[in-house]
This record gives sequence, C-alpha cells and structure tokens, in this order.
Amino acid sequence: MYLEYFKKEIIPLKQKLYRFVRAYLKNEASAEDIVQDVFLKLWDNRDEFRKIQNVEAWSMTMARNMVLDKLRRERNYSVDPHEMSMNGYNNETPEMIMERDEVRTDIRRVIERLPDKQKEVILLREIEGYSYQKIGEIMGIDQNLVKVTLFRARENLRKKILKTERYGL
Amino acid sequence: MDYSQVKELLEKYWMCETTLEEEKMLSTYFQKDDLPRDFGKYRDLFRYFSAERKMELNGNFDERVLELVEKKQRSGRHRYLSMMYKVAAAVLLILSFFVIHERFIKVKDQARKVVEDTFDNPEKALEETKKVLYFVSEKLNRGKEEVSRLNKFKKAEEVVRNSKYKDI
Repeated sequence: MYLEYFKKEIIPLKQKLYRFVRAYLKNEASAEDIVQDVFLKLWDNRDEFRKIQNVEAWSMTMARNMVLDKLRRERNYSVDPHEMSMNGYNNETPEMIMERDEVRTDIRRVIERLPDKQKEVILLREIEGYSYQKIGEIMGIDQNLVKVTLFRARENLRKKILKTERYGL
Repeated sequence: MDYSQVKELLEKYWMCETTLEEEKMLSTYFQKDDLPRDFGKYRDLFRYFSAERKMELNGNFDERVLELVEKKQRSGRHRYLSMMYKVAAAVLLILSFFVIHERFIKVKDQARKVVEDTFDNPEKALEETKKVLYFVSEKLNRGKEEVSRLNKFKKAEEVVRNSKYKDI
C-alpha cells in the first residue's frame, strides 16, 4: 500500500527535488546522493503519508533541510566550472560551450553570494516556479515575507548584473 | 510582445508584482537571439534560470531508489517477525508461569481442605467422632475375636507338636 503510494506520488517529484538540491550543491553526484537520501527518509516516514496534505511541499521541505544540514556540515560553496556541463544543448562549438559555461558560472556565483534565504526563494520561484504560498509552506515563513525576500533577492541580482556589465566584475 | 510590454513586465518583475504566467512569458521572450540592446544584460539571467529548469536526473534513479526501499521493507519485515517471535516467546513464558502457579494453588487448597474442620457445632462434632470411634472399635473387636479363634488353633497345634505322637 505504502509502496504504491510512494511510486505514484513521491517518485515523480524526483526532478523537482533534484533541480532544487543541485542548484544548491553544484555537484551533480552529491545532488543525486542527497535526493536518494531524501527519498529514503521519505520512505522511513511513510506512516506520515496519510496525514500530509501537501506531499510536494513536505518533500521539498525535507530536501531543503537535508541540503542545509549538509552545507552546514561541509560549508563547501566552491564552484567547479567542470561541473557546469549540462544536458539540453546541442550543436555547440567548444568556444560556445566555454562562453556559456562562463556566463553560467558568473550568474551562479552571483546567486551563490546572495544571503541564504534570498537564494532559497530565488531557486524555489525561478527554477521550480512555485507560488508565494507554496514557498512559504516549504520555508515555514509567511508569504508576505516570501515576497519581501524575493524582492530583495531580485534587487541584489539586478544590481550585481548591472555592476558586472558596467565594470566587468 | 513588443518592447514597451516587455519593459513594463520587467519593471513589474523587479517589483515582484508579476504572476507566474507573466514570468513564464518573460522567460520565453529572453530565449530569443535578437533582443533590444538594453535587455541584453538580463538575457543571461533568464537563460540561466531556463537552463536550470531543464536539469534532470538521468539513468536508473527510480530503479535504484525502489530497490533500496524494497530492501528496507524486507529488513523491516524481518525485524517485525523476529520481534513477534520474541513477543510470542515472552507470552508463552508468562502463560506457563500462570498455569503452573494455578495448579500449585489448587493442590495447596485441596491439602488445606483435608485438614480443615468440617463441623461448626462442637457437640455434633463430638457425636460424629464418637460414632466413628464406635465404628472403629466394633471393627477392632470383631478382628480381636477372629484373632482369638486363630489363637485356639495355634494352641492346638503346639499341643500336637509337643505330644508323644509327634513322630507318627
């Protein structure tokens, strides 16, 4: 019974969890390991399945907490350009790939330098496309605070992008 | 979308007043190659988000996770069974103790009943005791008579044994 529910409702969340975790950890292999751990932890908490109203928010919250725990333990925020290669781009010359990776690294660096809460809100809104309400549920904060945090995050991004463009920083 | 629409939408975006739908429109717009010059600076940001959205887990992730989950389920079942065996053994032990204890109490009660008084009235008890003693005495006397009769035979046997005709 639990296994059926797990296959039907939890496993399909893998891509969302992976994108969120990966955006935090930068390393694909660690992200995959964390997502696997999240799924196993979700399975360990299978008695809660019936009680949980929003499984997706619950799963994302669990993923978020596990990522934050890992980061707190390791404090490993370094960026490895070699890990930036990704799927979805075809017919690109090595120069184009290098340029794209450089741009991606720059943007990633800007996002990484945001305060933790702002970074989280940005990832949940821009990558996962969640509503303010859902972000609030995942982060355990009021949706007005989500909006304020997102405003600050976008403002920071905008300023840094303009600064980079102006001074090449 | 024309230039002014995008500009207006971008302003709303920075103020966090856009809906998710409008943000999708902006994202789609910034995938274009021929963007106006002053929008170019935001292109990389929207493209970065778009590329991140395309990130996917590949390979046999589902199989791996399900295998681990089923393994956990199996070990959970094994733990459950072994716990049940332990509980059953404990219940059996407790039951055995109670059965033995009950038997012991029963035997003890029976033994106690044997030595307990059967009469509340001492006079009646005395009368019954007398009756029993008379009965016993009567039986003993009858036995005594039989024994004295046997004694006569014994005496006769001795007389015969001591007489001069004993060798005949």
